[in-house]
Amino acid sequence: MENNLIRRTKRLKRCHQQPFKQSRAKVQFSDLPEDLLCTIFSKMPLKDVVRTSVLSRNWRHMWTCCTKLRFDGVMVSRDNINAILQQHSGKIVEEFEVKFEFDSKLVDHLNDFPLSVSTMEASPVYSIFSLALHLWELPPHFSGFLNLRNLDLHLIRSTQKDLQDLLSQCFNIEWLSLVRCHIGGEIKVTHPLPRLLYLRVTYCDITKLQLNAINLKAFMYDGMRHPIDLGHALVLKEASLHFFGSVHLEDALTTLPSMLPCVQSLSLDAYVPLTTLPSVPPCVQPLCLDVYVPLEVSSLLKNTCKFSHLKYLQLKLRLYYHDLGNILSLASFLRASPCIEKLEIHLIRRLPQGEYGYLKNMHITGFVASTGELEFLLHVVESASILEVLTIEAAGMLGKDIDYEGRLKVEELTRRYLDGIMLRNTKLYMA
Amino acid sequence: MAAAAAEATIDGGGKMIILISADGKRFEVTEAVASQSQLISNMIEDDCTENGVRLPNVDGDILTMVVDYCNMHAGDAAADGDTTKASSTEELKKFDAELVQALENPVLFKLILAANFLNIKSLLDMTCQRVADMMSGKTPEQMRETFSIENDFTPEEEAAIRQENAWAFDD
Repeated sequence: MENNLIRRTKRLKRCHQQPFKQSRAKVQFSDLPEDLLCTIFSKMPLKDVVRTSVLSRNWRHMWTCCTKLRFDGVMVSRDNINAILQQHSGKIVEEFEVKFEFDSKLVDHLNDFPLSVSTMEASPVYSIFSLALHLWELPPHFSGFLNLRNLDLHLIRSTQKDLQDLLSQCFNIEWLSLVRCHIGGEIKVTHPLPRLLYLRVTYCDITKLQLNAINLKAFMYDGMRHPIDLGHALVLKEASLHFFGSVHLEDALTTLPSMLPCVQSLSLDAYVPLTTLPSVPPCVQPLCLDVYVPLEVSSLLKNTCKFSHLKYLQLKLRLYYHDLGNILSLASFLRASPCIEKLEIHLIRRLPQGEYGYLKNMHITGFVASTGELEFLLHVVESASILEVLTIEAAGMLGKDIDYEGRLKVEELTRRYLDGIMLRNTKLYMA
Repeated sequence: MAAAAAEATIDGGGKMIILISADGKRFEVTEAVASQSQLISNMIEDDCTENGVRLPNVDGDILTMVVDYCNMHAGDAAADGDTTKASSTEELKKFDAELVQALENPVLFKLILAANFLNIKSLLDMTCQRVADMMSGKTPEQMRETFSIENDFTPEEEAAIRQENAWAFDD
């Protein structure tokens, strides 16, 4: 009954809408309501928006209703931006973006670039590209950037302290992305960021990442293997980690579960030495093709840390040849993931590429297209930059004569393997 | 009688709705076409379209354009994955471009106001984009000319304003 009444009122309101003034006069640009002016200004380059200030008295401050301040190109200078912010002060900023193409001439005046606190206070989205970030003096009793929801920093050069100060003020931040930021130290924000849902840290030269983000849902990291502490991120379900350099299997299986205790979907892309000989540096290891490393099953059993919620695991592992015999040790990932439902393993194994700059002709007989042969073939084709003739004569397994069908199979497999890798100038003969 | 006409249905189509412009012109469109307007869609939901929808602040000539636009775009939302859609996307683009390109400024602004009132997001977006495009890349003099704006600043005042954001005026 009550429901009906509400519906009735709603209907009456809509059906008897008061017509707004009906004007026969010519409608001008400035007759548009402010929200429409704002929509139009927001679709224009900022330079043209600011130009409208000179059209007439009526237009003098009209542009300030524009809610998107996107600076790019030559107008990116501290004075220009600060002047605009001053004229715009008191108005709403939905999006503030500073962007410029890298140009060494600009670097000097960008090195010291204080950003206005008032703008960041007002803006829910804030992205900066290619800027040297130098934090301002925060006013006393500053209550933080309460409206800032998204922060996207690209190619920022900042000191450890400046960035930490900035992040400590973003209490309500939901989305944070740091791409190619030069910090040169650790990012450590002890102040809780309870609303942070999404975090991406990509190619930043940091030494440590420590945040207190208890409600984080997704985390993406690309970079060196440095200590990462996200606080008690108990709702973090999705993580994608791409580590440069090597991550030891034991390390991965002890630190990752405690870093991501409730992760359900994990993608790990790394060079994971499967051996347990930490003494040999990873850059040397690929060369030690003859080292035989027995698989230490006992160490697998010792592992007690678990991904207790992990359902989907994707491993992109760069392996070197001497590790191939130890593939079984990957089973320790499964042992650590009792709830796993889907497992994807991408093994990227290859010899380090060589330089066979004079090799023009290669002739192989007795080819059966075994995995090892195909990998060898791939290695040669990738490394011989002027290879002209490649002749491959197929044979049956055990070196016996091969029938027509078998030969076709070998040929098909070989061509598929070399597809897209072989140079155009190389002629392939299959017999 | 009028109610009967408004509720009439065409072969295989949905219910028909009558839109009535400020100057009393009547347009008969299907519910699917009309409900691209959020305003009318809400009215349909509330069952108050039976006597026709009066739009006292939209002139007949403007409503003609709006109805044309909505007729063209009616398939948009519904037919995803339709094979005929690829070609019609091209057609739609052409139609849209021709619709806004030929308009005199006052008509364009009226169309913006109508799109805003009727709450048709895609039409509003397109028409606002047209104005933004007409404005972009022009000198202040060209802007004044395009939109018939009279410069009521003294030369000194104008110079002072230009100085304030000099970077925006150096060409």
